[in-house]
Amino acid sequence: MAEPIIAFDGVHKVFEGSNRVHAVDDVSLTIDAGEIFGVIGFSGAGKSTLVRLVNGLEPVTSGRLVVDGHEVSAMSEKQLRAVRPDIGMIFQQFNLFGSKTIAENVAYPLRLAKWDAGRRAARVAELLAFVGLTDKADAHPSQLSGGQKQRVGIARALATSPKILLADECTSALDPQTTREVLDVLRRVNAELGVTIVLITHEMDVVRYLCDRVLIMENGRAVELGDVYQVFARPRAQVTQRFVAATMRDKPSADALGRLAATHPGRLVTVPIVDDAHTDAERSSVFARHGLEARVIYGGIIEISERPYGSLTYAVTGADTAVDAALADLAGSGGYTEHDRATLPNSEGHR
Amino acid sequence: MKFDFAANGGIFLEAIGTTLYIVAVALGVGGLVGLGLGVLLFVTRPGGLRPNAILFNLLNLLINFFRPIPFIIFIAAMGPLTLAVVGSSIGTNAFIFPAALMVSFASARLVEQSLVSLDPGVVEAARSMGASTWTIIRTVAIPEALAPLILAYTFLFVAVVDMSALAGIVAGGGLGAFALSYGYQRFDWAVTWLTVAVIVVLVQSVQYLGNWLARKALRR
Ligand SMILES: Nc1ncnc2c1ncn2[C@@H]1O[C@H](COP(=O)(O)OP(=O)(O)OP(=O)(O)O)[C@@H](O)[C@H]1O
Ligand SMILES: [Mg+2]
Repeated sequence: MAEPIIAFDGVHKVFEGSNRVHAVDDVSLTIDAGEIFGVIGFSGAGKSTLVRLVNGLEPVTSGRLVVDGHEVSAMSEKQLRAVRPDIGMIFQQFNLFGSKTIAENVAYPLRLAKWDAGRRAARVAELLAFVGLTDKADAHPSQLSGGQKQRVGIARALATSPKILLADECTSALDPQTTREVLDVLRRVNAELGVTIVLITHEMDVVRYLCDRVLIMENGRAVELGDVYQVFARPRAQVTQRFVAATMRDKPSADALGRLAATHPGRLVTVPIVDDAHTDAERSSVFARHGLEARVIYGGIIEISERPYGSLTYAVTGADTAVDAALADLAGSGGYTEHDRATLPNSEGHR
Repeated sequence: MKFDFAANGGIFLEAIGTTLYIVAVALGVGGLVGLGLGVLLFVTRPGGLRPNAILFNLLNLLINFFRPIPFIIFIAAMGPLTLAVVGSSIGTNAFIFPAALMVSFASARLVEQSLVSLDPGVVEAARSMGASTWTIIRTVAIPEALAPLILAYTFLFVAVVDMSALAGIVAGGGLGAFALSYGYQRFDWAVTWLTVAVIVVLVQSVQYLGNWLARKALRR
């Protein structure tokens, strides 16, 4: 049982003003030491605010927030300053100091911590080697690519050996290839240095690639929290289902079903592929066992947390009673969705 | 009678010296006070590092009140205060006092604007590392906004040269007074134009220097 390193207990954050915003609304959850914790949600859900409470960039309005043994929700700005070197932070726009070289950027938190020049230089060299940017030490941020800038951001955030790293949309300004590079660095930060990572993103793909658990936020509330695989496999909240659907694209839209129905005879059945108690072999052979012909007409399978996940849509032909029997088997082993031809858009009339 | 450079060249040089003295002191003192006020505005503004509505609004009001006053009227209005502080209401130093005040207000605004245009992300990054407000100002805000700050002070230099031409009205001397009394009033246009040339060369060189420094600060 891992120790919680961050514990929210009935935490609220309200921004007073002409239009009052309840940015974080009664959040209670714990984040374990050593995990990679994802936070997703649509714009304005309160993700950034939630994470900025952790290092006290925003004060908690009410509730209790304990971070690494410090009751952050009860600390003054001055006390918080002493805690912040133990909580690194990286940003969407990297936020490097343009007037300083890469080495000076990485050395900045060490200067704040009053390290002497010799130790500073050694630590900077070590950090730049870790992120693979030793040759850029004397360059300025404007001379670096986005991915390189974020790696500098990571090196700078890790300078004082924090236990926690907060990452706010740290790959949202990057292309997919560079995103992968940065995520791989984060994975090493977690695996090799044991740093707990709290990662905000609006891309389910990032969550899928990196996170152990994921929190889904909506209107300041924590609407769903669970293992990444469980959240993908059995999304409960509507927002979660939308996120999963947007990432997966494994289920045909009504229009696509209409087109498929026009060209494929038989009953249309979507079967989820979920790695749980029931094996896929058991499920994919169900139609054959009932003497039916089933053709895959749509679908997609990806890997989440090193386990397969997705769905396949079949056109099943054969005796109706046999199909019903097969579907009854499926209902008992992970479920299915049948698409009623009568309710589908009629695409034969379209062209 | 035409101005005799051979005999009275010293007067011309002295006028140049007085102007340079006025500009240096007014810009030096006023610019420094303005830097402090500008930083204070930046720090206390809503959403700033240490928001303080009372202080911010007070400073704002003060600056907005004095800034639009035409400088020549400002000099007159400040008379009693100048007398109290400088000990005289005429002469070069009696001119420098209101000039430095006006420069303080003007530079406070320019400094504030340069700092506000700074990417708030870098300030946020420094805060996330545990930097204090003063440390952020010193090691992040000013270095990151150096180029606009240099240009702001270059602009201010030109404005102070402009202001300094009025020193003559409180018998403060300088190039303005020189051009008027030896050029304009004696119909000696050459003297006026020579003064113009000196000022143009002065302003242009400083502008050039400022642009060069700002570009150097940006080349990174
Ligand atoms: N300093 C602030 N003052 C007032 N309102 C704020 C402030 N910061 C955030 N908010 C409001 O709080 C809500 C949550 O904002 P937040 O930035 O946490 O959302 P987010 O989930 O990070 O969104 P995004 O994906 O766009 O970054 C929004 O309605 C936002 O307008
Ligand atoms: Mg955000």
